[in-house]
Amino acid sequence: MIVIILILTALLGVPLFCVIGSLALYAFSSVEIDSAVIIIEMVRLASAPALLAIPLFTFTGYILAESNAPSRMVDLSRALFGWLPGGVPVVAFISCAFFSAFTGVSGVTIIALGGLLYPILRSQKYSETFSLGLLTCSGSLGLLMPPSLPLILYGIIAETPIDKLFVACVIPEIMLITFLSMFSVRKGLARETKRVKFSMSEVLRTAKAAAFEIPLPIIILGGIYSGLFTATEAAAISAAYALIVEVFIYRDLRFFKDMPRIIQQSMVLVGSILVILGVALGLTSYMVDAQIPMKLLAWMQEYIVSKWVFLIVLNIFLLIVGCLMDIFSAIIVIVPLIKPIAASFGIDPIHLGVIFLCNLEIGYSTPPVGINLFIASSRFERSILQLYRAALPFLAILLIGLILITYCPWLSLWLVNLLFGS
Amino acid sequence: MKISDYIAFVEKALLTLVLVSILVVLLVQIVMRNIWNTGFFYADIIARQLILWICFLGASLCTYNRKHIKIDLVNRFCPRPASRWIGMGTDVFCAVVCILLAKAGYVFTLDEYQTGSMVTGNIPQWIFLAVIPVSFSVMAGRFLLHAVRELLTGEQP
Repeated sequence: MIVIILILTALLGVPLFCVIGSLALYAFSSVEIDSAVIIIEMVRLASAPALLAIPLFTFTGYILAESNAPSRMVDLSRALFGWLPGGVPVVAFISCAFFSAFTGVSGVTIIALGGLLYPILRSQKYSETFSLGLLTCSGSLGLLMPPSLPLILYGIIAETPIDKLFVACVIPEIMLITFLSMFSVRKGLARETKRVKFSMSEVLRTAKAAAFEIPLPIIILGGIYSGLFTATEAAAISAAYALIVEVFIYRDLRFFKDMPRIIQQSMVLVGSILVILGVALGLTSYMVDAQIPMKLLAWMQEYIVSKWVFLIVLNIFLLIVGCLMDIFSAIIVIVPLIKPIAASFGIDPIHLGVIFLCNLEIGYSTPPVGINLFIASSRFERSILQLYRAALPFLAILLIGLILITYCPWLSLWLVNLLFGS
Repeated sequence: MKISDYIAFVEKALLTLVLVSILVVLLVQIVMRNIWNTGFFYADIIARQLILWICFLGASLCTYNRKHIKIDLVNRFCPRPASRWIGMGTDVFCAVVCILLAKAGYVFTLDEYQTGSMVTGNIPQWIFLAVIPVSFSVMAGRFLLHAVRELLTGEQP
């Protein structure tokens, strides 16, 4: 009963931290435990080792978003891939993937890169619908690419090693981008769009322009994979690096004028995520005490007999969650519930992470309420219904990718086993 | 109204200071570990405790800017006058939740203060915890302020 009331309040627009907080307050008072327990659990925020990576990577992403890095990145990928038939869409997919990975998949991609890429797509005679759908669905394409914040957060909540998760996502992410690119190449061939000639000097020129930004992913990934530093340290290094490069080398941003504003904006986003995580830690500890995941599991086992049925139900459930809920709250609330259930069906927690994030990535652009659709609707000033239609072909392709990722575990696990041993 | 703006100014300044300190501490640690093979014993622990400050100062500013994460399904498809009343109701609800959480935070912080528990060495735990009741109280005040503003002016966030 109380749960239904709270779902209703959530739908009415009560901030989620208050919804979860009130549920935790209610739960503990109903068993006559002092509410200070919630705070004790909240303080566990300070003992999660990788959590510091979240504010630092968010800060890095905001620095990059505010500088001219997006346009340098688009120039470079245009020089590299623009000669392909369907080249400009491929450019869009790749730059959106990188950019959304760095900016924490928060709608910034559609706003920052959409404005750059839309006119380029249209000038290449791609239809309005195609261009809009492409940019809408690309807004969350970097979800499976390190160092995306949802990926780190999943690792923290599910207590799964983050370096392994990063590795597990490599093949699925490449696969999704390849599928989308194949579709757009076909479109490009059919429409006989004009192509840019490949020119080595253009590649060199744009690479030189972005020379100081190219090492950033290499530093992060190389550092983490080689064990040279932890995810948190990689985050600290990339924040310092981005700050130095954008302020003192490119001079896109001014230290005293822009930095305080960027710090505040990025930390407001971080605060909104962490406060939900804090209250959810309180609620989770209650649920574990009350054995709710176990009861849910027992209930599900009555109806769901095989791993495959479970995966189908999981996919449908997560797609709905993804289009209703913000990704961070979805991870914080849902992962503790489904992790033990998935484990009992013999699903590897790392594979579960990839399935989980891929579902939510698609949910972002799924009608009727996927958030990307609303962001794109306001950014490009088109009706929401037009965006529903535009997104459909891309969603279909992503769904094919999702099915492969869900039912072929080796896509996610092969590289992990190769690098870390099984 | 004015008070909320002043508090926001202090919160912004503190947030900037905290993030910069975390960044500096972590960088110094990396350099020291790799070059001299040592590090400050306390530094990591304090940097981690500071995440509480980031979390709650950020959340409080989030209330100031009305940027909290919410599902917001009904308001998107709801006529304006109705969504104004819904907005007022949700703000009052949030204020109550924040007051209760502030109380819980106060109880726990006071308890840690009285037992004198330390994070490490002679740095007491309550310094880092105090941000919890304070920011929940500020948030409660701000939610009430939003509700009153909506009641008086019909102004939508």
